[in-house]
Amino acid sequence: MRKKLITCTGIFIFIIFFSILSYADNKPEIFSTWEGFEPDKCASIWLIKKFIKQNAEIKFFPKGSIINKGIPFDTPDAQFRRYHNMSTYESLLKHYKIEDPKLIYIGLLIHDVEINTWGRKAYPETEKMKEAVHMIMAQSQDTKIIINKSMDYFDTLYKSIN
Amino acid sequence: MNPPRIFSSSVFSVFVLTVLLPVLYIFFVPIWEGQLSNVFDSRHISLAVNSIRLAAGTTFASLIIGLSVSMLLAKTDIRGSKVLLPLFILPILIPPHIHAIVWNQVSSSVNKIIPFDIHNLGGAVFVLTLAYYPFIVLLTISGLNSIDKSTEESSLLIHGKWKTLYRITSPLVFPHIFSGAVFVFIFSIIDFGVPDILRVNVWPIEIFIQFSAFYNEKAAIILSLPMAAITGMLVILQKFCMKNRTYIQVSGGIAKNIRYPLGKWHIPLFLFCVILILFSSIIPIFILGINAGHPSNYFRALSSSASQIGFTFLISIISSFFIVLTGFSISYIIERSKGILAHVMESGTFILLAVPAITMGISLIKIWNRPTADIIYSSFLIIILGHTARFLPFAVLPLCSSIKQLNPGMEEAASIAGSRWLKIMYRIVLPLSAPALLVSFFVVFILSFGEMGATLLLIPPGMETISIKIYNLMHYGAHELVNALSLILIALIFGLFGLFLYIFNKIDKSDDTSY
Repeated sequence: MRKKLITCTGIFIFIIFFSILSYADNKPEIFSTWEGFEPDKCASIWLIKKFIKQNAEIKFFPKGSIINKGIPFDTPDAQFRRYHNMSTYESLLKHYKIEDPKLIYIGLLIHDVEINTWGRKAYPETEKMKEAVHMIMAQSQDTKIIINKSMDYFDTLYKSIN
Repeated sequence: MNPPRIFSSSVFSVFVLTVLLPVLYIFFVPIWEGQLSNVFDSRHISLAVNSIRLAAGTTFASLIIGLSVSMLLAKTDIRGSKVLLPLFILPILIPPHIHAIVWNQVSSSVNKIIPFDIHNLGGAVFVLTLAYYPFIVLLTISGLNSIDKSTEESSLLIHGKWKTLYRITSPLVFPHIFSGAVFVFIFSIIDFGVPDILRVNVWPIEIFIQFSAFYNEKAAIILSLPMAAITGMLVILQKFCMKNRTYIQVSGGIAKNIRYPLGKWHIPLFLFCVILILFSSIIPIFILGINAGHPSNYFRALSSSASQIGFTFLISIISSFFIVLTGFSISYIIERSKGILAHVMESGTFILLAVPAITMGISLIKIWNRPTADIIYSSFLIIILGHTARFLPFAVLPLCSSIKQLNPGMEEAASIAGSRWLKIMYRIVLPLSAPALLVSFFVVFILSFGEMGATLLLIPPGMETISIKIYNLMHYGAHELVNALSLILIALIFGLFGLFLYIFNKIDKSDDTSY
């Protein structure tokens, strides 16, 4: 009887522990940023939703406001932001130790847009990518549409890299 | 009186670590590695021309404005000259990149009504002139105040006022004017913040691109060489021209010079002064206030940047203490021991003026970014080293002048009477140098407070200064916060300037203090 009770309690604790773990894992992680889009932000959202936290929820706050919810990114106070030698996308790659060569290559293109702002681009694909993202931003003002379209664009870009 | 050997050796060790290493790295490593020819291409000719045009244009415009103002304030009977002088110094307290932020906004607002585009070489010259012409004013007025009044009076007995100005006054004040012009030229040619904000492609921008965009540190260092060579030669020429003259008079203000009556020109020239003050300090502050928007933005800026403000204060205070201490020790060795060590220290210190902030940042990264020096590279100490390598000459200049004016006989007499060297320093040299120490501390503090070029590269993760915060906010388009925070920064600097003047007047009662 005592043995059965211990076994049942063990199973119960295991189930509770497993449920908590699985809930924590499925709970959508919030990533917060300021309103407004640019290639770096679009690529970062794609990277977060596809490779960092697949169920991530992106929350937008008015420009200039203090973000006190979720993990801030691409804002002046965030850990994941543009530095003098690194884009937001690259800071995410670095922090999450992502070493996929295709993602690193996209990082180089974003770096070329975001950090190398003085015209002479290092990669011929940079201008194409920049124009494509700007086109998506020009076609709609709706945040969801811009996110979905840029997710599709970066998926295609990712697949096209050899 | 020669300083003890242990003192000289310790100071020289600090000098090697803070000054000599980065300078030697910049000048010798590219040559050592023999990669000079691979970096330069035909595009660099236009960049060099742009940079020289920017610096020459700024120097020319600053000379015209600065000389007019100095002559009006020191040599004419213009009313309110004592009030006007501090107002002409105010623009120097506003960091140049904030001048650029303001005029950038003005340009985008009025561009639809009048053709006023600031995003070109002329615009950069305009902004840098407003930021740097006070250098000419300060140095020229110091030069005019140092002229022996009787020389001009004797000339006036025989010649007219114009001939006296041309034949007597101008040659006597020329070293100060030349020195001011060299300062303005160097500061303009090495400036990164203003061309970056106004999107003007010049040489320092190319250095930054090579480092940040292309990760090509060697190219960035090699590209700095021609600029460092030109500015280095100018620094040497300026030192030669100034010889033992003092640079700036602090408490004397405008001494009792011979003054010429303005007559009917009084009102137009007074208006000229007022317009200049309006453009160089009042309008920028007003525009920042307008564009900051609702007062709640100041609270938002303060609450979101309190830690950055605190960090900037702390860093600037530690930097200033360290730089003034090092600067005082170096100045004492330069003035009191005439050996090779003193010459090396003097040349090394002044060569620092010739190195662009970005290059200094790269050089310090290359030297200190290694596992053995991680305690320095990953902490605020790297920023202190950056500030030291940039601002040490601004401490050494007034301190050398101050120690030069002290009679070495006093120290010798104390030594003969049995006092130890440390006691002589503590009881004689330091108290007599107190005003110069305060001036150095304030100048270095203000420069450290607004520094951006080297800090941008050196700042360790998780740390941020106000200038870097403003730079980041600007990139993210939070314009109201940029304006509010810039205004807070200016208010803090002006407040500190007021405090400095108050303390200085308390400790220094002499009429003519020159450094």
